[in-house]
Amino acid sequence: MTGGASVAASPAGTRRFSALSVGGVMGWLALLILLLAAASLQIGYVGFPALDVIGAAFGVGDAKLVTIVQELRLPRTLLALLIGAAMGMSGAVLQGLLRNPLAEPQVLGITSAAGLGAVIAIYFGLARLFPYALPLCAMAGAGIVTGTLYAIVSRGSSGLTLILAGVAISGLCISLQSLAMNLSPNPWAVNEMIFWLLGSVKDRNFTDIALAGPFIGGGCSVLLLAGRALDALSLGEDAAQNLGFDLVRVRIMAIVGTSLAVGASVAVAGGISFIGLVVPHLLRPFIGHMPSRLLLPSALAGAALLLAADIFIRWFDVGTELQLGVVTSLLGAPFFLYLIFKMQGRFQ
Amino acid sequence: MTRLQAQDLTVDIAKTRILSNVSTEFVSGQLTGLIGPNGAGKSTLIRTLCNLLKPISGSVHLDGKAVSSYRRKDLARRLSYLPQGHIMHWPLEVERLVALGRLPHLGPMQSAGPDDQAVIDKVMARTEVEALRRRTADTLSGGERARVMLARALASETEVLLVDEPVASLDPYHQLHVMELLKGLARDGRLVVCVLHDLSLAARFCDHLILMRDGGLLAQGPTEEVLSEDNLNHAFSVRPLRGQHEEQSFVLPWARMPAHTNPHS
Repeated sequence: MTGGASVAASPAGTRRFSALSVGGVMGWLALLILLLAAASLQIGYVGFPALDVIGAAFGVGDAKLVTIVQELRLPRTLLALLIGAAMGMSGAVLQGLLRNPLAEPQVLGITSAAGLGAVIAIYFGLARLFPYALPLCAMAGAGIVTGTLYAIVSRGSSGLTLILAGVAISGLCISLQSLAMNLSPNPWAVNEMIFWLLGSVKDRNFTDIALAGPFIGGGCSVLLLAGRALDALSLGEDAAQNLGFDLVRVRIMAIVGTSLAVGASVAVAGGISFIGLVVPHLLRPFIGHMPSRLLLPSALAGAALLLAADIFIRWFDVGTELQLGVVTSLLGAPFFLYLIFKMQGRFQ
Repeated sequence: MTRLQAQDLTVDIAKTRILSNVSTEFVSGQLTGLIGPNGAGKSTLIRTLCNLLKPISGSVHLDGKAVSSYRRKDLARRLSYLPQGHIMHWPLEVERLVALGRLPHLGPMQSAGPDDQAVIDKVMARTEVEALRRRTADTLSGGERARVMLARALASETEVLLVDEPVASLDPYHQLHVMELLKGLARDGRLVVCVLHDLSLAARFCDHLILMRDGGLLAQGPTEEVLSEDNLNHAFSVRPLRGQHEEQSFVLPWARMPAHTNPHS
């Protein structure tokens, strides 16, 4: 919302849940994550007693079971949590930075750009030359697009322009991905690209976590530091600067943090979208709109949501296992449409 | 005594000259009104005073030190700026919104303590927005919103307060209310500068006026002198109506000047 349109006073102006503390919400989310993680570890080709599985995750019990749980089930669960957290927090930061409730890595084309970076790494065989090529290319793609979007916003463009720019950038990245597949002489590489772009945390191992984890952790730490400045930005850029914040520094932090977190996520799990859009909206009724208060809860809620989606696709058997990215898009895209309708008339 | 000085300010925005060679001075204890027609450079001057715009020549000094050489947080603790339009991008709770004014006084990871809360309560009482404490910003009326934003600026507890069009689009009751608040702050010893379009409010409430036109100063000084017939004709191309009521003088823009004498055309 902007300052221009004033809304008539209503006596029911307070929100019912805003009394809930951030700590309280985070406690509930942590509990939810534990329950989901325990459930996620149960799912596999062979069924074991539930408590044995949980013990095995901590290295207790039958050696074979420990191997199955720690090598196969635990990485998938942890990766879903990590990526969900990265996406949730990136979404919350981008919405705060751009002051637009529709901002999100996927909507703005950042996920597609990271995907394009990764496709380029696969296409030119860089990924085989050195293991960090793929995540680095993905992060570079994400960084370039986030920087471009900020340049568009800082020229005073409206929220609508920003979203349209995201659509255009997303379209360009997807067509360049298609071009790479089109030109690829090797059908096996095409298959690799497509499967990878659909997005999944299936059959991942601790190498993937070791690859993405530090970047996601680093990215989220950088994003957390921007929280205060995002609060000040609620009052507009001039007021934020007058409150003592260096906007250039804030933009760089948000761009670097988002690129690291989203780029690393896309690098190991492919295109997983809309978590960052949905999560802050789910939390606002409980903890209000202050951007800094949303950051950590968004990371936790993103982790919970993505893990829940991953549990759902393993439980919901349609013969072929659904890809995680496909399911989050199926849930997220209608939500995006719903938000657009809800916000009609807000963009000038 | 706080002193804010502008020396020979020349400011370009997108290669267009907006201010040329503006020199003026503000001191604590006074409410200075910045008046002039649209496009005169009032907002540009005020944004340059708070170091949001860099002049291509000239300088702004706060107590003898260039505003551009202050550390960001230090300047934020001494000078607060309330932009026009009362921008709020999120429907924040009123109390949290006012608390944003405490940010210059907090460390990077430090949260507001009891001292900060005392300041927040004090400024909310002063601007009469305590009853709105738990309301969200999107439910406020224009007058409520203006006072909440003023409370946010006051929460920084700065000696200097620069306000851009605080009464624009408010009804008469709320215009008077905001002007009384600003006047009271100046009486408490603060340095208050306020952009205004309403000449009668300027005449009644301001101690000093700065009259701008085409990026320069047409007149500055005590309110009575600046609102002279000549100045108003020249700056606004209007003929004023003057009067006295309750031992205060007022000025109303009464009629446009005939086209051939209109310096605007």
